[in-house]
Amino acid sequence: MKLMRLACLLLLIPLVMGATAYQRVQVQDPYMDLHTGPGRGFPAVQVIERGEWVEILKRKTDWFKVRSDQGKEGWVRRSQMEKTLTEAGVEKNFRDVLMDDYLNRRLEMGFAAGRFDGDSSLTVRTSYRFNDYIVGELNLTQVSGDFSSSRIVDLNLQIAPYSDNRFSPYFNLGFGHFKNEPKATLVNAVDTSATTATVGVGLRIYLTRRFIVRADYKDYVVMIDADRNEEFQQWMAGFSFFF
Amino acid sequence: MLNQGICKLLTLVLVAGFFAPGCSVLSSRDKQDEKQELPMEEAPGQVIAPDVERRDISVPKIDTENWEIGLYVGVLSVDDFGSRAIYGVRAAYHVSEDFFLEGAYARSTVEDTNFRDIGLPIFPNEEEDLDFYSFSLGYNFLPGEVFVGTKWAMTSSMYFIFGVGNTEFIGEDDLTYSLGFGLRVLPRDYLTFRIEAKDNIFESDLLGTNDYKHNLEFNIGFSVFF
Repeated sequence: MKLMRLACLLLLIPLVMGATAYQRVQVQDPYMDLHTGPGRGFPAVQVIERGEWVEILKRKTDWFKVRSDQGKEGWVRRSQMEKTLTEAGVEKNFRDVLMDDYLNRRLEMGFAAGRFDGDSSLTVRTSYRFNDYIVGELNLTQVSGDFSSSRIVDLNLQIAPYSDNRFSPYFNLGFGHFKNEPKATLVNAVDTSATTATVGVGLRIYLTRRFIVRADYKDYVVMIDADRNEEFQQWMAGFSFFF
Repeated sequence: MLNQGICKLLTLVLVAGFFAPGCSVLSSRDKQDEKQELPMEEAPGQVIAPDVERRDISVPKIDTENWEIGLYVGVLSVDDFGSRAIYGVRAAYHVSEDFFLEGAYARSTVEDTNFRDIGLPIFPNEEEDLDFYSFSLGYNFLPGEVFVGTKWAMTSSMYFIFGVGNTEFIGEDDLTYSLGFGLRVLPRDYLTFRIEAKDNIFESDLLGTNDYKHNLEFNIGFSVFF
């Protein structure tokens, strides 16, 4: 029942959003190619001539769906949209995602795979960049070991001294919660639940568009009880993208 | 010197006395009277009323549709433990026309019926829940169109998908790699139908020896762009 409701809601979203006015631009290229779909592989089946006006219906990645005054519809690549004039008679700036956007990014999401104390680990992370040098990050890690599996939730503070570079190293400090459950096939094993402190280093490499490649090395201190601390090392590599 | 100081002070008092009636605090009643009189007179110097048609300069925002969210249903065959229905949700972000990133969560069940039949039960119950999640990178290839009848053409695309995730059943977590491909058909620009085949690979020692398990999954689903 809940699934059905969600499905209905999902189907309604585009209908509600559809009732809007569209931005209009005038074609300045000799011809504007209209492709059947939003991608270079889709064939161009119609053209719009210079001087005609088009409405911009929507955008998917770097492609714009337009409709001409005569009712021709199709997808146009960004490079052609840049050669149009707005109603105010100036060139429209359809920006690409560039290095500048990367430098001004706030929210970043990604995932990474690696090893945690010899076991395979998977991490999902969301980070928020407070300013040029300071980033806050939430990590959810799942460690799948031969004898047990662990979940770690940790909150981190990163200091990135060279954040205006394509290669940006950072220091990482964090704390969190560690939970370990032995496999069901083991006998007499007990669950462990403890607080962790983390210190680490990492590297962000801005790849292209919205992609960032990241590599991390982290050292975890798990405070199991008053008398016992355990130390684990984790390294991981993964993809992130920013908004 | 003293005289000069007194002179200055006197001048200041006089000036203040001259301007004080003009202060708003002191002349609030006078102002109210003026306001009442104003509507009776015409504004001076306004001969021709301006009739300028202002252009609407608020530019409507372009609707970007790079996010995709959807549901799917299919069959998951878990190595040694039967084939059962799988239900899932997924959300994808399209980074470019070629690549997308996707997160998925799905539920299914596993059974050890075959082992119970020969008197070797493996699970606490014959049927156990299975949870699966993954994060994937997808690559679109072979873009094209699908034709239904003579009047209906829908854009379509094949895709490869590679993911890293986790499979959990009877309290055991296994890091899972997914490899698959699928077909995405778009009857509307915001609506997607998908058919997908995947191999979910994980390492397990449930049956004694540690082994790579290949778990084939076939699913169909729909999603909406927003």
